[in-house]
Amino acid sequence: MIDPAAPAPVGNMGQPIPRYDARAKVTGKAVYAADAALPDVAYAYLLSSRVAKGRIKSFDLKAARALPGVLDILTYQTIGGDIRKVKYFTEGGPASNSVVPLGSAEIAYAGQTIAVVLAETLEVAQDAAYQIGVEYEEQPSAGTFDSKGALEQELAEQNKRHDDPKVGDFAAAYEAAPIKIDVSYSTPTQHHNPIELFATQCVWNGPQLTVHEPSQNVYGIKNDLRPNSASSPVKSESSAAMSAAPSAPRAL
Amino acid sequence: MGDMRPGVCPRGLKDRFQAVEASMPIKRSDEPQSFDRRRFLGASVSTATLPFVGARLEKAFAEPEALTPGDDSISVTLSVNGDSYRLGLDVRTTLLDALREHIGLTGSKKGCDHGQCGACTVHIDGVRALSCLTLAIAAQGHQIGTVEGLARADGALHPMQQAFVDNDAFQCGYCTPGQIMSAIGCVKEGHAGNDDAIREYMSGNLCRCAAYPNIVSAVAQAKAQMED
Amino acid sequence: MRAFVYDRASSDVTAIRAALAFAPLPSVQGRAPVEYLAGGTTLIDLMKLDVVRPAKVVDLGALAGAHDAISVSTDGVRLGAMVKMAAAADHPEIVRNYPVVAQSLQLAASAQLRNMATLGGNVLQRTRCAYFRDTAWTACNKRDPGSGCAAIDGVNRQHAILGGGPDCIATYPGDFAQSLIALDATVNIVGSSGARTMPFSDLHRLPAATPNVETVLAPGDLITGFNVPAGPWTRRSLYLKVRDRQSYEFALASAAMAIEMDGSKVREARIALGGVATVPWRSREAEDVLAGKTLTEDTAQAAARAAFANARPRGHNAFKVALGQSTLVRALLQVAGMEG
Repeated sequence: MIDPAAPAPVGNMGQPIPRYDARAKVTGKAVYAADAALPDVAYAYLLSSRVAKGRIKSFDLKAARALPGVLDILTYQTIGGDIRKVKYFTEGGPASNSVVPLGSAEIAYAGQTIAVVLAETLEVAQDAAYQIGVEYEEQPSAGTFDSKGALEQELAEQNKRHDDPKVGDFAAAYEAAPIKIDVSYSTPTQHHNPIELFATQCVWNGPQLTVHEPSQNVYGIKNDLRPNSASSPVKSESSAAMSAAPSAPRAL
Repeated sequence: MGDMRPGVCPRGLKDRFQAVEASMPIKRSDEPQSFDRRRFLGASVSTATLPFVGARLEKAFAEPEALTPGDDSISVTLSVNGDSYRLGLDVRTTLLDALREHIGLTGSKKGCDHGQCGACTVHIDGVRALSCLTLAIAAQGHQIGTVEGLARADGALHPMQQAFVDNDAFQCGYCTPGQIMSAIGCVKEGHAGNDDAIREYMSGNLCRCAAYPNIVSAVAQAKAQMED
Repeated sequence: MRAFVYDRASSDVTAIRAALAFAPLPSVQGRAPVEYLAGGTTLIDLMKLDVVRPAKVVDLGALAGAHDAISVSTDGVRLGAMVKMAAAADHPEIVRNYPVVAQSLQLAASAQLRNMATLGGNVLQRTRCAYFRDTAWTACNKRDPGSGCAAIDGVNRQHAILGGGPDCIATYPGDFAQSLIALDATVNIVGSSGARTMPFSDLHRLPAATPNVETVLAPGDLITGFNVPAGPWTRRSLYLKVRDRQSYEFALASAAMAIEMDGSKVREARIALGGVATVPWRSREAEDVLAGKTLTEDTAQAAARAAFANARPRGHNAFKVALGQSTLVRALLQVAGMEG
């Protein structure tokens, strides 16, 4: 039985204490992931798929590569084997996406990253991304519940812990109801994203990798991002090579 | 919007999920090595049709060739919070990126990069404006004010900053510098007369943490103090 | 953004010369060669989206002093093209004597954008059509003539029901232009052929078969100002904007109107409709219904029906017919209650 009376305030409960980061935030001194000042870094810009489903037939990187200041362009053709599937965040891992980035020519969804441009400046990286030519083989995509190709699965098949609550017999009750109201409503997709942009900064210091990332899942990311570990998304041969290199910029 | 397909290139709202950035070193006039790889081009306001990408353009007219961005940079001097910064920039560099990536003043934030969220709000000649839609080179010759320039030298906060603290007008704080700069402009414009006016004239600043009611209180509090 | 040559003009003449002298290089053929940069609120946005790709940008910033005057006389109001939206929106004479102009500016964009954007740039703003703004959609006759129109059979909730056709249904999104249309403003232009003044209503072209050509401006032409004539209708005027959000959102439907009353009857009505048409839209159909009539709900409804009689709704914007009509009715009844 819960006591409806509110407990008496303890400590500074109920007092308008300013947040401890208040001064930092109102003076612009709070350091967000994109604000961290790392020395002499490169910029990476991501190219996303123009189609929602299909495969990439070819890239034309000539114009993009020719721009002065472009350092490299990564596609599944250049690093496809170097990134492997890692644990999903619900399993304590870093991934929030079941599609391995730059893993293959297959395109599974609208907005899928298909290339990463590395350049000396943000402006050159963007410009180069605009100049990448991509030939697609487009396939029909299933974007709504009624689309051809949309799959229907019992939730219990996906999550063993799920327990379908069943009460009564809806079909019989509805059939017998004197008044039946059957209406469909839909709402647009809402992405409850915070205003801070996703912006990753990372730097190697010998074998140590420091990642600045705006995320609630910092431990999940840290756990599996360790190079040379069996659970790392980066294969150990590549990570060994990377950590042996001077602390040059990387995009992961 | 239904089954909108994404672009060939990242842009607009898609950018906010996919920009992977690293900061560039502070480039000030006391770090001449920033010009080592870049050809210094004198900056002056043209009285004739003299473009800034001088050397390469003249060559381009002589022999038709593709206009390519190079590591040619242009020299831009920006006056920010009373200090003068001489920078080597791409002509495409926005004021926001010049502040954040070249000068190292990261208080102004990139929330959308398209003038829709207000997180990049700065003052240009005392008037609130969006730095993400302003070319740095176009801001040359103007007085730029950012959130970093508000607090007094002795550390005392601007009344608007203090009001945001007093009224808990933020949570994550990412929109906060833009809100504060915008709110100061709102008061100076005479558009903070009542709560409805504050809401209307602050509508260009989004807050995904929904601190809006506290932001309105903060603006009202600061207005009274700023007009003392 | 793509690379471009930046030039900063010091006068009208040097701006036009800079625009016209730039011969596009062979490798950049097909790109609009030159764009003027004023406030940048349209241009920089679209350049970042790779929708607009000028080879040269001519910055008009230094021209502000020559074209940022607001002068009010018994003949009317002259607004320089470089006047910022915010300055005109708050000008006491405009607020008092030309409320439709002031409101069409106050209700537009956001405070920061109004501080940056010029009146000249504002009337030339581009459509918000999501297909135009996203280069992933290759079918856009406005960006790429002959490529088709993805909006016709696409998601066209915000698209036009007036003035469109099989090649384009993109809505003209601006507000200020509607007040200029309603008040029979003229626009001053300088260009390679000299200076001219023409009715503002002649500036924009219907998309027809060439939606890529939005105005009658010749290459290098520069808008220098607007003239709004005085008249007995200007004080009894208003701008009503209906949209998904209370602020900082484009119109789903809007109405700019100025009425001259003769007792309780309408001597002359001037009506422009926003959010529903491909260009700033004068509704003479509605005006003709109202002339000489008493302004009641019935006559207002009749005017609204006439205004949208030729509306051509698409898959997702049929609601704009009723919304446009009721916006017009509401605005009429509101303006009737105003003092002249």
